[in-house]
Amino acid sequence: MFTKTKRFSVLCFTMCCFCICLFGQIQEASAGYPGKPITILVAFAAGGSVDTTVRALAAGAEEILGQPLVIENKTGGGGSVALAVLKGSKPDGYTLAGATSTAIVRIPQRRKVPYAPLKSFTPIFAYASPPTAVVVKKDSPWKTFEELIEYARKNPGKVKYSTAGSGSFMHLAMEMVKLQEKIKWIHIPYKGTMPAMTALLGGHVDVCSAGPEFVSMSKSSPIRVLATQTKERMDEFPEVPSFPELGYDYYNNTLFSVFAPAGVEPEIVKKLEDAFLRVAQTEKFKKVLKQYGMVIFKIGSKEYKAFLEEAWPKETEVLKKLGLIKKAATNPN
Amino acid sequence: MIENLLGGLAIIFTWQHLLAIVVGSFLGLVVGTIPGLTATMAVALILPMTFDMDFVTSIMLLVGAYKGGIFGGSITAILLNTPGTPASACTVLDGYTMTQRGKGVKALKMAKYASTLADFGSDIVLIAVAAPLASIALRFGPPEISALIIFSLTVVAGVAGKSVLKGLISGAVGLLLATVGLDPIMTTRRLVFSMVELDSGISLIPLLIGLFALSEVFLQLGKISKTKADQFVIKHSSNPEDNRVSWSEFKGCLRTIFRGTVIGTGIGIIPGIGTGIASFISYGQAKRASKKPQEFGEGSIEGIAASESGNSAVVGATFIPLMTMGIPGDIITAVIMGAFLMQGFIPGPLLFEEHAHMIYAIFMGFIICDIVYFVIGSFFMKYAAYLSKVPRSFLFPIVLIFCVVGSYAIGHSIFDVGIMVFFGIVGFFMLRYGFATAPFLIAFILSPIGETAVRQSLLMSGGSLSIFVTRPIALAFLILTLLSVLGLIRSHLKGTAGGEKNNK
Amino acid sequence: MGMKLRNKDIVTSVCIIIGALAVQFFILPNFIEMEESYDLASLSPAFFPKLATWIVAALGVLLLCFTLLQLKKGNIQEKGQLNHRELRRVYVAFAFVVGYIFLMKLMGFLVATIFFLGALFFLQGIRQPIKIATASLIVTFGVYFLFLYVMQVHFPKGLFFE
Repeated sequence: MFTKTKRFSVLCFTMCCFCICLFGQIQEASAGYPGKPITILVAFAAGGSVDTTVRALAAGAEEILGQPLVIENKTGGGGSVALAVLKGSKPDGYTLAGATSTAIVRIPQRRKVPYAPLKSFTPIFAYASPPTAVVVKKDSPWKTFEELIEYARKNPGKVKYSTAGSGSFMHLAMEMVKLQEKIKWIHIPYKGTMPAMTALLGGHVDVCSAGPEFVSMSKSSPIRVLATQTKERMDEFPEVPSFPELGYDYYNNTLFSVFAPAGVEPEIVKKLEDAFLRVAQTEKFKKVLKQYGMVIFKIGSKEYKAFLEEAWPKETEVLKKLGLIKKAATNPN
Repeated sequence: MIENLLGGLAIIFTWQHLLAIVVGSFLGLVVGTIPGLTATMAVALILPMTFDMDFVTSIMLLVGAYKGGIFGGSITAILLNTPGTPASACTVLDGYTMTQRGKGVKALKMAKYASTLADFGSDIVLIAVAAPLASIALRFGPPEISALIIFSLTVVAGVAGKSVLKGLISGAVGLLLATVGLDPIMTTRRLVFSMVELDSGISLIPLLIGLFALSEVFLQLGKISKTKADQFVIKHSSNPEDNRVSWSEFKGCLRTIFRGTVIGTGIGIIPGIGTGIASFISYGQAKRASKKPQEFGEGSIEGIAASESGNSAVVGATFIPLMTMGIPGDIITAVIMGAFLMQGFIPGPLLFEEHAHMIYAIFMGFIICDIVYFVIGSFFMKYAAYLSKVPRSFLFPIVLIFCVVGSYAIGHSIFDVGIMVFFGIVGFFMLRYGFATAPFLIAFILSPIGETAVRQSLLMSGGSLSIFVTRPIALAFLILTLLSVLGLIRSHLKGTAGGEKNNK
Repeated sequence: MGMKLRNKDIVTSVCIIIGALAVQFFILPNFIEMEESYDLASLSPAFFPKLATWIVAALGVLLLCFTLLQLKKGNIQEKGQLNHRELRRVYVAFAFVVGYIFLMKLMGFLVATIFFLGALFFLQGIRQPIKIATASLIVTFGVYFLFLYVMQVHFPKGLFFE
C-alpha cells in the first residue's frame, strides 16, 4: 500500500518527532535546585482561602528561588485528590502540593485514600491556621454560649446547626460539645461555610459552626459570635471566649501547608523551607493572611512532621469517640 | 439611588476601566469560541493577572471574560455542536441543526440579540433591586430548593426529542450517574470503583464536551465527503434570508426573550441553584407556550432565542446572591467572589452601604460589557465565514484535538480526557439509538443539588415529609410541578390521538 | 430498515432492564462504602442511587411494552444515520482516540498528538503525506504553544518523552 517515498517520509517524520522530544529532555536542569519551574498543586478551588494564600506564598517564593512557581488547581475530596497525585510524582522537588492537615489527619480515617498519610509525604512548611467559630444571628435569644447550651439541654433535638460539611473540623467540634454536654442538636451539612451562613441568616438553622469567612462576615452581616474554636481568644473578638476557656479540650489546629512527596533530598527541603519562611515574614504575606483572619504560624518541616504524627492518634480517638468511625479506614503508614 | 448611579458612572468611565472591559470581553470571546474551551478557563486564566490591579479593573476584566466566554461558547455551540459551557448546551439543540441547513448566521444573530437583550434586562434588575430581592432569596431554604429542582426536572420532557420515554430514561441514568463520588451529606463514597479522581464526581465539563461535542465529531468522522460540496460542513447559504434575522422573526421572538430573561433572572437570584439550568428551563417554557412546538429541536429560531436569553440573563442575576450573601452561583462566580475577597470587599448587606459607588460602578460596567460584546461579537461571527471554508476532513480532527485539550486543561488531568472520551462514545450510541442527550445533562446537573436539598430538608424536619407542604414557597412549586406534569400528559395524549386520527 | 430499528429498541430496552437490575443488586451494594446504619431522618446515601436505578428499570419496562405495542401496530420508523462502512470508520475512530490517550500517557502530548492527527487525517481520506505531516505538525505545535504560553497550561509529560 505504501510506496517507497511514503515510507521514507513517514520515517523522517518519526525521526523529527523523536528529536524534538529529546531536545526537550536535554533542557532539563543541572545547575542546582531549582533549575526549572516548580509546580504547586493546590487542593482547593481558585479564589478560595487556601488557593489565595498558597498563591501569595508562591509569589513571594518565586523571587527568592529564582524560578516560577506554577499553580495548578487539583480540587476534590477535601484535599485527598491533590495529595494522591502528589504521591505519584517524582520526589525531585519540582512538584509540591498546597493543602491542609485535614487531608492527612482527619480524612483518611473516614475513607480509604491511596496514600499513606504519615509516610507518603515530606511536609515542608505550615503557615496558617484558620479561625472557626460558633455564630448565631444578632436577633437570636442567646447572648452567650452557655445560654445556647442551656437551651439545647432543655430542648433536645430542637436546635439545628449548619456547617461547611460532614467531617470538617467545624462539624467535629460541635459533636464534641454535644458529647461533653450531653445535649442533642441536629447537624445540617452544607457545601462550604458561605451557604451554611446563608442558611443561618435565612432562619433555616439556629446556629452555624463557621469557617474563616465568619471573620469578614461579622463586619458586614447581622451575626453574633458566641465562641471561637481556636486555642486562644482572638484579637478581633476580645469579648468572645475560646473553646478551651469554655472547658472543651478541642480546638482548631488545621494547618494550611505545603507538602512534597516522600524521599525529597534534605537540601532541597531546606531550601524550600527557608524560602517559605522568609516569605511568611513579609508584611505583604501577613496582610493576605489577615484578610482571612488567619492565625499565623511558621512551622518548618521536622516540627510539622512531628505534629502530624502526634495528631493522627488523637484525631482517630476523637472520631471513634464521636461514633463516626469504628476503625481507621487507611493505615497511617 | 440616582446619585449612586451617577457616582458609579463617573468611576467606570476612565480609560483604564473601559480598556479592562474590552480586553476581558475579547479574551472571553476568543477562549469561548474555541471548541472545547470554556468561559471558566477564560476567567481562571485572567484571575492571577488581577492580583495587583485595583478592584474595579480586576472585576471588570473577570466579568467581561465571563460574559464574553458565555457568548463565545454559544458561537461554537451553534456552528460546531460544541457547547462552551453547560449554559450553551441548550443552544446546541436548535443551533447546530440550523447551521446544517445553512442558516447558521441567522442562528448566530438571533443568539446575539437574545443574549444582549436578556443580559441587559437582568443587569437592570440587578441595579434596581439587588438588595430587596436578596432578602427574598434568603427565604429559599432546602425545602424550597427541593421543590424548585423537582419542578425543573419536568423540563426534561421538553428537551427529550422524538421519544419522550427514551428521554426520560436518559434523564434517569443522568440522575444515577450524578451520584458517583462522595455523597453530599455524609461524604460516603459511592460508585467510585477505586478511582480516586471520581471522589468529586464525574467532572461536568469533560462530560458535557464528550456527550455533546465528541459524539457529533464521531458521527461526522464516519462520513467521508464524496463530492466537493460535501466537503464543507458549515454550509454557507447565498440566500440572504438565511443570513439575517428579519424584523418579523425578531418581533415574534420578543415574548420568548422576555420570558427567558425573567426565568434566567429568577434562577440566578436563588442561591445554590447554579446557572446551567436557566437555558433549559427557558427553552422548556418557550416550547410549551409556542405556536410551533414541533419545530423545537429541529432548527427553531424561537428555541435559540429562549436558550440564549435564559443563559445570559442568569449571568447578571447571579451576582445578586454573590454580592449580598457571598454565595456564588457557579464556579465562575466563585472565582470572581475570590477576587472580591482578595481585594477586601466582603459580600454582604454592608457591601452596598460602605462601597456604594464602587458597586454601582461595577453595575454600570456590566451594562457597558453588554454593549461591548454586542459589537465585538459581530466580528467573531465573521469567523463563521472562515470556518465554512475548512473542509470536513481537516475540521473535525482539529475540533477533536481541541476537545481533548480543553478537557485536560480544566483540571490538568488525563482522567478527565478519559471521561470525555467515554461519554463521547456513550453519546454516540445514545444518538444512534434515539436517546436524547439533553435530559441526561439536565438530570446530571440537577441531581446533586436536589438530593442535597431534599436530605437537608429531612434533617431539618426530623424525617417528616410535611416540611415540603407546610412551607408556602415549596408548596407553590410542588403544585406547579403537578400542573406541569398534568399538562404534559394531556398534550401528549392529545397529540397521539390527533396523530392517530391523521393516520387513519 | 424500519423493523430493524424496532428490533433495536427491543434489544435496547431489555438491555436497560437487565443493566438496571444488575446495578441495583450487584453494583450498588458493593460499591457504596457505608459502615454505619442511618436513621431515617437524612436518608441513607444508598437511597438516591437505588431510587434512580428503580426508575430506570421501570422506564425500561415501559419502553419494552411501548415498543411491542408499536410493533403490533406496524408503525414505521426512520433509518439510522450511518451505513455500515461509515459505522466501521467510527469504530476505528474510537480505537484511535482511546489509543491516543494511552499514547499520550506514554509519550507525552507532542508526539502522541502528531501521530493521532496524522491517523485521523488519513482516516478522513487525505492521502498526500505532505499534507498530513504539515497539518499535524502545525496544529499540534500551535495548540501546544497556545496553551503553554497564553493559558499557562502544562501538558502531560509522558514516561519517555516531553
